Amino acid sequence: MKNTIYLDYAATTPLDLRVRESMLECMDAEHGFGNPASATHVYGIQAARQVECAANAVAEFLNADPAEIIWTSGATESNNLALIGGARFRAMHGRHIVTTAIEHKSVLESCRWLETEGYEVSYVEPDATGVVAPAAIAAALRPDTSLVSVMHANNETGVVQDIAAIGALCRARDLIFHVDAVQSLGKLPLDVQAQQIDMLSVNAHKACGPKGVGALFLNADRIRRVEPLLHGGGQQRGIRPGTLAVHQIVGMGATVRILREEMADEVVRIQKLRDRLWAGIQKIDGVLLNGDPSRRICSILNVSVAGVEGESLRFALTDLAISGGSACNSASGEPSYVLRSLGRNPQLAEASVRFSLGRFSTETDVDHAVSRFTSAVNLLRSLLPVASGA
Amino acid sequence: MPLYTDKVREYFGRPACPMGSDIRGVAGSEQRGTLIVFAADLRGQLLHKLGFRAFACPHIIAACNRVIEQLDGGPVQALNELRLDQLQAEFDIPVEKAGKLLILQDAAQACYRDYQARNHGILILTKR
Repeated sequence: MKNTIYLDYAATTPLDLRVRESMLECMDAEHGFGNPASATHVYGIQAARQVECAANAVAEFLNADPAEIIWTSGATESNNLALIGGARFRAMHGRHIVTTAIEHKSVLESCRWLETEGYEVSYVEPDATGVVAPAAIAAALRPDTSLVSVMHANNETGVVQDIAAIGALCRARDLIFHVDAVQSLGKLPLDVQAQQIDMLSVNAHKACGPKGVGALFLNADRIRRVEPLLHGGGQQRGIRPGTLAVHQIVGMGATVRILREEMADEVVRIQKLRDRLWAGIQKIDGVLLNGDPSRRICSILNVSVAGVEGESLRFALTDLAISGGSACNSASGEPSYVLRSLGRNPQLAEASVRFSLGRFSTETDVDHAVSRFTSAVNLLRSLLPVASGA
Repeated sequence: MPLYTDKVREYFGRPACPMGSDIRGVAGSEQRGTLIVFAADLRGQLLHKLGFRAFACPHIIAACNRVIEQLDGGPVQALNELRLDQLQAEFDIPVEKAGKLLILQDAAQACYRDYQARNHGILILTKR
């Protein structure tokens, strides 16, 4: 691992040492190992204050109220709770859901689950650049639609959707609008009021925070609760019961506070690195950018390479920690469904690489990646049968 | 993600080898994910400059490199007698890639058939 350059920040990120410090502080006897639900003694009260402090930070970052933050184990749980819990709670308003074909699996699989319960789901396709037109969402709505779920930034291509426009059209029709903002946290401004978002999923570990913690924003004016997926002690108004993992939550609070302070500069720096990376590898013939060239978050660069076998390409790049398409999907060995939705043929979808940069990426990392990528493509192309002879 | 042995890494990373042109065999297609070409010169009935070109996964590229290492300089009929089970074991090739190994075998056998066809042509000329 020592000689491997980490360019897979969209999968997960290294923990920021400042976040780590904040978490360690609340894992010892001095600083509060208490259960925040134990309101009768100082340990519990101290833990509850720490949780409240983290909720304030997350809420402020989203322009929400702290009472609208539900802690979860991560974005998969947040998305499940929003989709399944939200759809069930609003079943009397209709049993039709609109989402896109390029959502994260935790949204798509939640929708598939709802289909087994009799819900109907429309999966709106993006255009060839990965953009889902708000008009396409509007066209998919029906009188019995109760919920719309659209991701902010795609986890494979980084393409950004016009969340504010979709939020406006949902609000005009009194539909509940959920946004998976996992990839955009710390990359794009999030304002649940201005963007008219009713539910929003985030986690900490994509932004140099700890794994195992996330949040679901629930707009108190629009959807006071969702049907819980877990049942227990009534914590978090029964929406998501279970003893809160205070150190994780404190870590998420610290993560967001750092973002608030540093996001503006960090985005500029990471975008420069990404552009440097693209400038280097686009010199190679047959390298194609996946997704809209401008409507992207700063950190992700997804490319396909013509005339190269995908598994061999990634194998030849083993000293770069990168993903082929979605990291969550790379174990399946199937070409990315996101790139297929963009119209890439199976070969180009398979021969794709996602570079994702972050807080600790450097110019040296990028230059090395360009060099290694160029060598790998050249090696594989030197092995190709010549077109006329094959 | 399949796991790769050190031997796969070793054989995969070899640069493209020189390739003769007296005989040639092709199997597979890029569209299906595996395309392999074997070609060689002949010195009598011995393979010379046996080489390959491939659009293939790491296991198969490594196996192709192993095939030419084993067969180059040897009798041409060895192309028709490849032991796939040995290659599979040597590179720990997952069973789901058995079809790709068969393409490798097809390419080698096509190369041998090319030799037979050319040899047959020479015999006919001799009779005339």
